[in-house]
Amino acid sequence: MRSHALLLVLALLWPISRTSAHDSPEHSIEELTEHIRQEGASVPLLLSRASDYRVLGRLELAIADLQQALKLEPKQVGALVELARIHLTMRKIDAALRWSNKALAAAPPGDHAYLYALRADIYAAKNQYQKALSDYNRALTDDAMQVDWYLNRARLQELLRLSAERIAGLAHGTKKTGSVTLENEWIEALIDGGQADRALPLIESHLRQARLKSSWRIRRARALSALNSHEKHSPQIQEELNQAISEINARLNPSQPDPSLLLDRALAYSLMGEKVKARHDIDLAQKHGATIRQVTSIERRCDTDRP
Amino acid sequence: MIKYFHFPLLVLLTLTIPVTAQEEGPLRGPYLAQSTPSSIVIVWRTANKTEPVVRFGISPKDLQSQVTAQAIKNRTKGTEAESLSDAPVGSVQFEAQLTDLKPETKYYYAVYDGEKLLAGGSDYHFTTHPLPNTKKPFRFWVVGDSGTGGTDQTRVNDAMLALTAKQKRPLDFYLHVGDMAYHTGTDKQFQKNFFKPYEETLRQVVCWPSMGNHEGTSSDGKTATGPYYDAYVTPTRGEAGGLASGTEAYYSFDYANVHFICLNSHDLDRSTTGAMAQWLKADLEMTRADWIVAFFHHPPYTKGSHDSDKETQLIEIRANIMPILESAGVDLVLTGHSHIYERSMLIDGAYDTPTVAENFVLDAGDGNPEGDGAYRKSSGLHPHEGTVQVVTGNGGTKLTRNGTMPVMKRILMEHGSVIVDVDNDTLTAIMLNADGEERDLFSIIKRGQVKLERVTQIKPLPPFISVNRLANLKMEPLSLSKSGATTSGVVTFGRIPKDLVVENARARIVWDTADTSWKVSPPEVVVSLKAGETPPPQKFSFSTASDKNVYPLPSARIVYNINPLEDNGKEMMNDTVTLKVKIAPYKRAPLARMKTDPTIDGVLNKNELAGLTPQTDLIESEGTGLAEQPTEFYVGLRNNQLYLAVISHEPAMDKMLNVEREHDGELWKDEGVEILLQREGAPDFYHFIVNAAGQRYDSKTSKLEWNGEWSTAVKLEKDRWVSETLIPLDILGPPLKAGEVLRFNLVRNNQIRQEFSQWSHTNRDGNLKPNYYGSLVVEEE
Repeated sequence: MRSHALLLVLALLWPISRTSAHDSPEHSIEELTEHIRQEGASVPLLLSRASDYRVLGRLELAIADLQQALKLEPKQVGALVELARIHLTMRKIDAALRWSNKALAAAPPGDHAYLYALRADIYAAKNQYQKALSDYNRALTDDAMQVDWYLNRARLQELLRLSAERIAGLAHGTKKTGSVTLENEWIEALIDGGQADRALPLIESHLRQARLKSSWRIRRARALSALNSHEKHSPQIQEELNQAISEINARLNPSQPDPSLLLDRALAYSLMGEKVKARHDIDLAQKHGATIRQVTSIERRCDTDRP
Repeated sequence: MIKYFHFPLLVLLTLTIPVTAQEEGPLRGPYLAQSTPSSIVIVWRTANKTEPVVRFGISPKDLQSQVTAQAIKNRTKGTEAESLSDAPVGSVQFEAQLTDLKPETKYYYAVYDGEKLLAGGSDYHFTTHPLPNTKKPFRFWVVGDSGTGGTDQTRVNDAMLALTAKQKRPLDFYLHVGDMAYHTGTDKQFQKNFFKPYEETLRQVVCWPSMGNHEGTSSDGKTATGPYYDAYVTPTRGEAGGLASGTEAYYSFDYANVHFICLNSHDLDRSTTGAMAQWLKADLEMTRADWIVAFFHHPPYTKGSHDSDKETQLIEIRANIMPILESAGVDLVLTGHSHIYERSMLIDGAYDTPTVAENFVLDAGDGNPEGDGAYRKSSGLHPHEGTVQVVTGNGGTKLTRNGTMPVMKRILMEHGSVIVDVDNDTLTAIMLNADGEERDLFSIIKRGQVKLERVTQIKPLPPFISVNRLANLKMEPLSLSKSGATTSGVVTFGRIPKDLVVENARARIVWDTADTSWKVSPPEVVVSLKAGETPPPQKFSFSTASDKNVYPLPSARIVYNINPLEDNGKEMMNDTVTLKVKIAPYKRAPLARMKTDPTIDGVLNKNELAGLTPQTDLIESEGTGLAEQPTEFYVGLRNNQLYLAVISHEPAMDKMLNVEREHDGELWKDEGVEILLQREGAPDFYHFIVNAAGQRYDSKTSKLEWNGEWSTAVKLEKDRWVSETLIPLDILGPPLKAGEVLRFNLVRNNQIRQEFSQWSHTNRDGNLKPNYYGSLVVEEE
């Protein structure tokens, strides 16, 4: 039977949440603090309050409660997992790694897949991609239905230039889960991996069906560029990219642009050889909340003028 | 390693369990899922294995087609990946897909066990979806945060049923935006708080669900497992339109000319690089519907019981997901979580924290065709032409408001739900309150080409004065007599804020005694509220004719008319607060001195029980009344040791399933009894659990490192199990003296029926509340 660390946390909360009012996290914290004052601290109360602190972004207080819970029950897997997650959020990577290792040591085997995936994210944040990949491989061996894990593993394989493994892994994930996210990423992997000829018919098919075509036009341009490296700026490719940019421009809210659309446009500009514009869009996307992961992913595909 | 094992010992192998009336029909359903123009899934559960058959056809009298057992998926609680996670032991869930159906066609169906009809008739029917992009008028119902099983949930449901009947315009489907099974989304709570209240609706229309945080307590979006995922069948491979997500946690479907998108806002990666956001982008790229409606639990904009300027999940949804939706032309976003009704103007691009309205409003009117006029957008899907946000977390649970969200046009503290009608290029939504009144209406018309200007000057709604914590209720201890119970209570108020500017502001205290045996006098009181003053306390008396079962308790609702809806203050808004009625412990029993030393072997004999008074009447943990399955216990004192014999009656002993656990493991998840002790006036309390396998748990004031020297034995019988426990009371200090009080509670966890009960009810505050334990009074030597 599958069991999961997060469910362990939540199962422990059962006696409390059965009674808690449906109030805001602030009120819930108030109530739990009163319980703790009256009854003394207990693991379920502390975990519950830590969860509310986390929702409010008060991470240091959440950590304090979780650590207190561990004093009462040193091998409380839920608390260990939460501590790893919170430290990762705070970018305190070494601490996150320590807590995730403790969680792995304490957890039953049924929970290991999730914990390997969590540790993989921590290794990735430490730029230890090989270790991260190894953990994702283990996680997916135990649970082969996790779309996010396939996606994250493929990103690591891209970073490690393991093109064949990336293509194979995404194909396997697509077959297993049916996820269109993985299929699209597989098409990207085919282009990156020198198999643009395989990707092109798939792209053409999607392009015909899509209402919003810009991402597929950019993929098409990438595939065509890869297949005709001596004609990267051919009129056909330029036209494809111009149409993509035109559609993106119409979709961008001028004051609050969607950062992922800006990054798409950056890629289009880059493929057109417009390095300055590409750089500008990447910077703008960052200003509007694009994550480091998003930016680095695009930067790998873009040829831009670095500031 | 956790191992599961069945309890039936040799004796139980020969048992014949009588088929109860309940076991004759399905335990759950039949209900509908994942409908498309050509298919639908019919789901039902039975108490035991059956030979499942679904018959269906276009007339109730002529069910010509059938799906038989070979093609029907069946799931039980067990160890396989496809199993049910939390269903009654032995029960089976059947999921039958009916295929090759005609679009927009009404079918009748019935479910059978072989040739034996389990459920069917003229009320059992469904209509298949129209083909995508058909311009067919249709209606859907939106409910959020409803799953209390209480009267407000029922009133909301009844109001919808009455309106649709009156208009002769039934629902085509139902969206639930989460928190459908309080408090923790267990299978039992789903049954009681979702499937039972909506039984009639669910047999005729599909409920498309999104998972709330309360379901997320026992279900996991990452693995798509738990009672929530057991209850529903949702698309993973684009079966109902839209693209394959690969998970039941988020999905899309088409109905006529609308594309619906459901996200998991609770426990999945909400970042733009996460799989869910990537799928969302891909799905939006492909849809060619005229309208897009998105629904999920956590609202991007709210100041109800939750605050979208402060809480991580809500901020992430707004900052990461809303830009993707709005750049693809979403029209309507439906959410819950915050226990309030809030409805926005036509807005776009309001992703900042804190939320501001200026420059992000495209139409500041009320959207009402008979008021400021319907919101107008261009025909088809266009990015950034405005979205209406509806928070409908007012489906049944306690309502709360903490402020005014600047993008909102209508904020109502009333229980209710949303009914949406789509007719080609016009979408009209109403908020129907629990009294059946239409309290809000807006329309969006998508026609021609519309040029929208951003509104820079927004006239905000009047400020909100919070009264949530203004009133308190204090109850006196119960006075019990043979004729019943009486008590009294007083509602006190805090000082009214000085900035209360509304004239004739008032608070109406209404006592709800529905489904209880209580009378409250006076049943209703209106208190006038004046700025800067403290209203006088209000006294109430309570009486019930029942001397044994005072549960369920009445509840007090205080309806404040305090905040103006409009800035002229003419129409005042209701702000309803429900006060928790808590009854002081009243269970009291003698702690008799035993005449002989008991033998702790799980076998009760007359000598042991001589002079001990049987105690019964355990109260169901939610306070709904006495537990259905009786428990009987005897408690006595021998040489400063507490003796406790518990007889847990259970006709379905063969369904008992338990887990092999270590000492101090999670025994509260098993068939078991919990014993709680505290010497009156002492700071510590002691907690003992004995499960039906005789395994033990003990703690001192929740500290597991404490281990006591106590003994217990269990015996399983045909229709009950018996435990005997002996606890040396030297843990409490000097020996108990005659007349001294030992605070005591007994809790029974019946996992077979998911029924949890307590001798002294702890007012739904959990078991670890010594102040609510009953009293054992030590008898003379």
